[in-house]
Amino acid sequence: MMGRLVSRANGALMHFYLLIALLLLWQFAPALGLVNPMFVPALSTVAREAGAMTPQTVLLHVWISFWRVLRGFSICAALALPLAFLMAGAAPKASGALGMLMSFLSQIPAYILYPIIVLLWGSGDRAILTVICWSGFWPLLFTAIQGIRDVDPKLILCARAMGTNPILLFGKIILPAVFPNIMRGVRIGLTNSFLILIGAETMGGENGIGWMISNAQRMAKIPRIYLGVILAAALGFLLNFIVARVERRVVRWKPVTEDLNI
Amino acid sequence: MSGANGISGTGRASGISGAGGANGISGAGRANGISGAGGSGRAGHANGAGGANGIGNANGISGSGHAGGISGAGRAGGALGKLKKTAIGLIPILAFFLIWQIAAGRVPKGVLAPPTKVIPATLGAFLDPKEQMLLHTLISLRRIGLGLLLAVVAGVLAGFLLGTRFKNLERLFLPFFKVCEKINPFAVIPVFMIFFGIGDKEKVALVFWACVWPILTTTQEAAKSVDPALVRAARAMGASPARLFRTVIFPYVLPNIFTGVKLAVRVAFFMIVAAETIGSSAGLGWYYTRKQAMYKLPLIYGSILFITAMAIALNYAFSKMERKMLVWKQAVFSESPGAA
Repeated sequence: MMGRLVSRANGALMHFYLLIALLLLWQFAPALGLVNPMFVPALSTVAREAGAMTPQTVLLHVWISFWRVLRGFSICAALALPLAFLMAGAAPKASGALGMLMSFLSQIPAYILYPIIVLLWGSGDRAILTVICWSGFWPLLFTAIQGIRDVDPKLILCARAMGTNPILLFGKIILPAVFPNIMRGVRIGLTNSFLILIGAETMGGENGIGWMISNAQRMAKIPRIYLGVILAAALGFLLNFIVARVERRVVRWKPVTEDLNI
Repeated sequence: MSGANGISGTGRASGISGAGGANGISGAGRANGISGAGGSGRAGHANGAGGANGIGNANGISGSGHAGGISGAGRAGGALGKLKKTAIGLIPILAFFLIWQIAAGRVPKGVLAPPTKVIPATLGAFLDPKEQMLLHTLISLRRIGLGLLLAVVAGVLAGFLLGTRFKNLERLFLPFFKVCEKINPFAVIPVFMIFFGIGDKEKVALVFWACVWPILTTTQEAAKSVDPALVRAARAMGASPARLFRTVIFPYVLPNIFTGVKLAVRVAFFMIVAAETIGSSAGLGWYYTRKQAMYKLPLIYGSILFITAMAIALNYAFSKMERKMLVWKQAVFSESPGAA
């Protein structure tokens, strides 16, 4: 009984052993003289830095970044999803013709677009939201269009044959069939948006995690840089966790596939 | 091979069903769909025999089966359709440039340069040895190449080891790798600057960081999921471990490695330009920031256009290479079961 409990705990903790070992190494390596503590401050030093900045300030930066990416991505979803349904559902010919232009536009790196957006609209929140929106928009649009095209036409024919009205057809057949693909697009898009968020804040923010990191860099506060990296990783994980939760909740009828990349 | 569409990826083939009839020697039908967004790396695998000996190898990345067979008739018919499709696709792009041209004349001066000025200026800068745009492009490409090479070596090696030899270590290592994968590369840049300065080393390290995780995870996942029936069959026929690896496992995993590499190249190009914008003294990103500092409007837009074109070209080159690899894999596949 006891043995089983231990082995079970071992199994559950297995995921974290390496991480814990590395964190311990991080803590003790500077003190042991393995790395220069100037460049790699111990974990406790980084934690102390967070204390010195006051935890409220730190959390405020995290919250600002989180709220930004959430807002930016909501705008992007509100634009991309209706457009996808419109293009793939109502005008498949037009969407085919627009394909090349769209893939051209999607390849413009949002990061180098940022200065232009600042030129047009001035810096600040709006510019950051625009690039977040831009980088999330394309993957979401493409996967959604793909998903709509891949809806089994037999399902639609069947439903039509049984006399389903268009609204019911959309709600009961098309939407559930498209949802797994949309959620995949949401995951990719949100990852892209989060990637660009830190970059945009580095370039032209006044707050948020990205600004915190670049500001620490300018002032040569090395522990603060590491703190920012930890926070960025944590926020990335949080976003991923939220999306996975939503996906599991929404896409009940189909087992959720684990995505490997990005 | 019947019922397969053109290679262009435009038409949708119904799919996984393998080959129809006892037709060709190859008898391998493959559906290979890659969604434009390039996200997940799920590899579905169907191993159903149809006809004499058909191995249906569905390597669907978007989960949906897309085109991808190679057939004589399909290709001939597809070429014309493709041409037409390209022509239609070009119209909106031309319209885009036209709108840009008109808009440039209407907005306040110093905001938007018209394409009639942007494109000649960019071409001039590219050809003029004093402007050194070509040089900076090559510097950026070299950084990507080096970082990518290192990432492929490390990622593929580690992926194979974790996916085949040390499967039991997977649960120990993989979560950690996933944590690393989730760390925002933009956040890592300052840390790398502390270690490596702002020169080539930092950029190569960044490219390595951005590339190694997708390559590692896709390789590991594919190596782990090699069809055990294939492995057992090869073993039963007396294949040595080295031969097993060379003729069964490696060809099986290769397309997935390529998917990882393709994803990695995308991120790598994006990140290298960004990193060069943030802190550098050479490279395309730096060129762009310098033009911005000099406020050379046509060249600012020109750089963006050029960087986008580069991204498209890189993507295209790797897609082409991937297709080559797939053809090669198909040849191996069709030859070995045929001999058996």
